[in-house]
Amino acid sequence: MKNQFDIFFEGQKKAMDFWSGLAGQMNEAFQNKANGNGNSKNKPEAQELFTDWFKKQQAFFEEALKAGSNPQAAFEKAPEQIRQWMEMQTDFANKWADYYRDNAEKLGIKIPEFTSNSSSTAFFEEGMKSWKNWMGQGNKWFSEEVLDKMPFNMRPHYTNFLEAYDFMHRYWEPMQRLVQNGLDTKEMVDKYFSPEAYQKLVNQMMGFRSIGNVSELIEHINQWFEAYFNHTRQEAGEWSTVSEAWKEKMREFATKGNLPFFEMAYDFNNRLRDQVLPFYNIMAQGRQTEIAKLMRDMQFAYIAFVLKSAELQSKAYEAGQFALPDTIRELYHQYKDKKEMANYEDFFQYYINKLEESLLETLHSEEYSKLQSEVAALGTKIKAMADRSSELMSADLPFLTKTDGDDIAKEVNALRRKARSLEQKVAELEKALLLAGKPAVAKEEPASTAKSTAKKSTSKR
Amino acid sequence: MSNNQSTNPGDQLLEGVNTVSDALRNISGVKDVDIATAPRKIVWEDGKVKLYHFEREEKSKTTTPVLVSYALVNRWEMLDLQPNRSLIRKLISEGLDIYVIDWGYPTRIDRYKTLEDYILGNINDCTDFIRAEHNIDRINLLGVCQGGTFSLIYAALFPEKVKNLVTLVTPVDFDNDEGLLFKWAKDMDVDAIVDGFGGIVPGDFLNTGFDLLKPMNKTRKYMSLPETMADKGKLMNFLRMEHWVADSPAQAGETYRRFIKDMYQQNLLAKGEFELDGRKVDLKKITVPILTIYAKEDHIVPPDTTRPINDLVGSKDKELMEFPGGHIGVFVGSRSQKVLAPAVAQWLADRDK
Repeated sequence: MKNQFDIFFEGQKKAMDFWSGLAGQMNEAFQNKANGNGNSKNKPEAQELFTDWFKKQQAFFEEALKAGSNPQAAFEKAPEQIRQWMEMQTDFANKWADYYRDNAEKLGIKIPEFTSNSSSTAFFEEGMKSWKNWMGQGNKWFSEEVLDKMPFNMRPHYTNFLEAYDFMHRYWEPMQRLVQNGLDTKEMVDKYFSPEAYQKLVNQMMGFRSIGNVSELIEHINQWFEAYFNHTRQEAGEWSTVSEAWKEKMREFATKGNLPFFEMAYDFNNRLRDQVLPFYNIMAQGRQTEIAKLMRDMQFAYIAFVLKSAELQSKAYEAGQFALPDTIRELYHQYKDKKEMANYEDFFQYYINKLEESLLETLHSEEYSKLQSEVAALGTKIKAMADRSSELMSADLPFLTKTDGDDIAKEVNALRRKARSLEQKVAELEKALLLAGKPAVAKEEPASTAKSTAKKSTSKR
Repeated sequence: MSNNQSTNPGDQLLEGVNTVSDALRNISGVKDVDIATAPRKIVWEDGKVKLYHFEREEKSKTTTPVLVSYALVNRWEMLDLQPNRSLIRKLISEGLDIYVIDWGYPTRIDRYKTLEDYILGNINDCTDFIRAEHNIDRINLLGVCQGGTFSLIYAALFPEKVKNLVTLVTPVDFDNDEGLLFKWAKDMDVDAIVDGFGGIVPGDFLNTGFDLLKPMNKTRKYMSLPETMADKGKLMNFLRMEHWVADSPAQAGETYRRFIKDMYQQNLLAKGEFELDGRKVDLKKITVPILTIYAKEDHIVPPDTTRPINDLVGSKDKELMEFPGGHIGVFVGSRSQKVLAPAVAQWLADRDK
C-alpha cells in the first residue's frame, strides 16, 4: 500500500520530469531561435527565468530532505513546509506559464503532448493538479494533528478558520492584480470575488449556518410540516392552506420587490398564525389537539426564526461588504510607495482586521442588538416547544419526563435550602453555647432542650 | 502562515522546515493538557460546590486567609493555568494562604439554584468554614469578575465576617453601552432564553456571545498557530487556553435570569435597590479596606463598569489599581506574575493586623 510519502515522491518525479523536459525544450528553442534570427532579446530573460527556477526547485528539494534522517521522516516532520514549498512552486510555475504563453508561439515551440488532451490549458492544469493534490494532503495531515489535541467544542472554530483561509487563497492571484492596478471599486472587486463568495467567507468566519434562499427554505419548512399534518389531518385540519398562503406571498414579494422584505414577511407570518389560531379553539380538547397546536406554533415560530436569522445574517454581510475594496485600496497605496506586493498572509490579516472593524460597528447598533435578541429568543422557544411536544408524544411511555425532572429539581433545591438553614442555625447554636461556657454538644442533648435553645438563639438575633 | 523575514526562498524554506518540524514534533508529543496543577485539598463540599485549600510549603506570612470567589461563567482554573502563569501560585509564594470556591458544573437539577443559594449559602458557608478552621472572626475576600460582584454583595451583608476586600475586573455599574455584553444584555429576552433552554443555560451559548465581542479573534489566533506550535511552551499555553475557553459550565437558570435582570437590565446593585432574600444590599455598608483592580483594555468588563466601586462603598481605605491589558491578561499575562500578584499580596499584608 502506498503511503503519503510514496504518493508525494511519485508525483514529484512526474512533475520534475515534466517540467525539466518542457523547460529543456523551451530553453533550446530560445537558443536556436535567438541564434537563428539574431533575436537575442528573449534569450537572457528566458534562460534566467528557467535556470533560476530549476535551481531553486532542486535546492528546495534537497534542503527539504535534509530536515530528516530519511526522506519519509522529512515529509512526516514537515508537511506544512512542503505545503509552502508547493505554493512557491505553484506561484513560480504560474509566472513561468504566463511567460510561456506570451512567448512560446512566437518562438515556434510546441507544447508537449500530455495525457489525452494536448491543449495548452490542459497541459498546465495537469501539472497544477499534482501540486494541489500534495498540498491538500500535507495540509490535511497537519490539521488533523492539531485538531486531535484541541477540545472537542473548539474544533469547529479551527476547521472554519482553515476553510476560510484556504477559500480566500483561491482568490489571491486576482486580488494581487487588483492591488497592483489599484482596482478598488466594489463593482470591480465583485467581479473577482463575487457576493456569494463573500457571503461564504463571512459564514465561515462568523460560524453562520447559511440560510440560503429564504423563500425556498420557507417552502421546505411548510412541506415538512404539511407532511407531518397529513398524518394528523383529523386533528389539525387542512394545512395546505398555510403553505399556499406562503407561496402566494413569496410570489408577491419576489415580483414586486417588496421592501423591507424581512419586516413584511415576519408580519405576514404572524398574521397567518393568528388566523389559524381560532380553529384550535373549536377543536376537541386533549393531548392530540395540544400536540397539533404545538406543531402549528412551531411551524410559525420556525419560519419567524428563519426570517429573523436571515435578516441578522444580511446585516453582517452588509456591514463588511466594503472591507475588501478598502483593503485593496490601502494595499495599493502601500504597493505604489514601496513597489512591493504584500504576501497572502499580510493581505488576509489586513482584510480580517478591516472586516472586524466594519462588523463591530454593526454589532454595536441598537438594531442588531434587538435582532440578535429576537433570534435567540425564537431559537430557544422552538427548542422548548419541541421538548414539550416530545413529552406529550411519549406521555404513555415509562420514562421520567423533563417536567418530572423539573419537579424533582424544585424539591431538591427547597430541601437543600432548608438543610442549609438548619445547619446555619445549629452552627449559631453551637457558638452561643460555647460563649455561654457550655460544651458544644447540642446534638447529644435531648431534642426538647436543643429545640428550646434554638428558639432562644433565634429570638436573640 | 509564517512570519519569515528572509526574502530568499531557500532561507524561507529552511525556516519553514524548522518551524514545521518543531511544530509537528511538539504537537505529536502532547499527551495531556494539564491545567490547575497547584497542590490543593478539598476541605469542604456541598453538592457540586467545593472549597479548595491550597497547600503551602512554609507557614503563611499573613494571619488572615484569602477566600477567592470566581465567576460562575467559565472556570476558576484560569487563576492557575500553568505553573509559570498562575496567580494562585504567585499569591502563595508571596505569603498568602489561599482558598478557592469551585462552583462545579450545574446540571438540570440545579436549575432552581438562586443567587441567595450562591451568596447566602455557598459563600457564607465557605466563609464560616474558614473562620472556624483558623479560629478567626474575619477573612479576606478576593472576588473575580462576577465573583467580585458576589463578594461585594456578601461584604455588604456580612461586614462582620470580612476583613479586607479585593475585587478583580468586577462589574458593579451595569449601565454601560461601551461593552457589547452590557448593551446586548439590555435587549435580551432572558425569560425566553432560560425557559427555552429548560432552565439551564449552556456554556456554549455564552461562549458564542463572548466570541462575537471580537469576531475575528479566533482567526487571528489560528493564523499564528504554526509559529506558536514550534515553541513547546507556547504550544502548551495555547492548548491550555483552548481547554479553558472550551470548559464553560452551564448556568443555573434562575441565577442567570436574576443576574441579567437585576444587574444588566436594571442596574439595581449600583442604585442601592438590589435585595437578597428580602434584605436590601447597601454597598455603603462596606467599610473595610477595599482594593479595586480593573484592566485598562477590558472589553468584557470595561473600566467604567468597575471603577464606580470606589464611589459606591463606604470604606475610607480604598484604592483603585489600573492594570494594562485585557480581561484575561490580568490573570495570565507576565505582568500579572511580576506586578499584580505581589501588589495584591503586599496590600493585604499591610492590612493583616
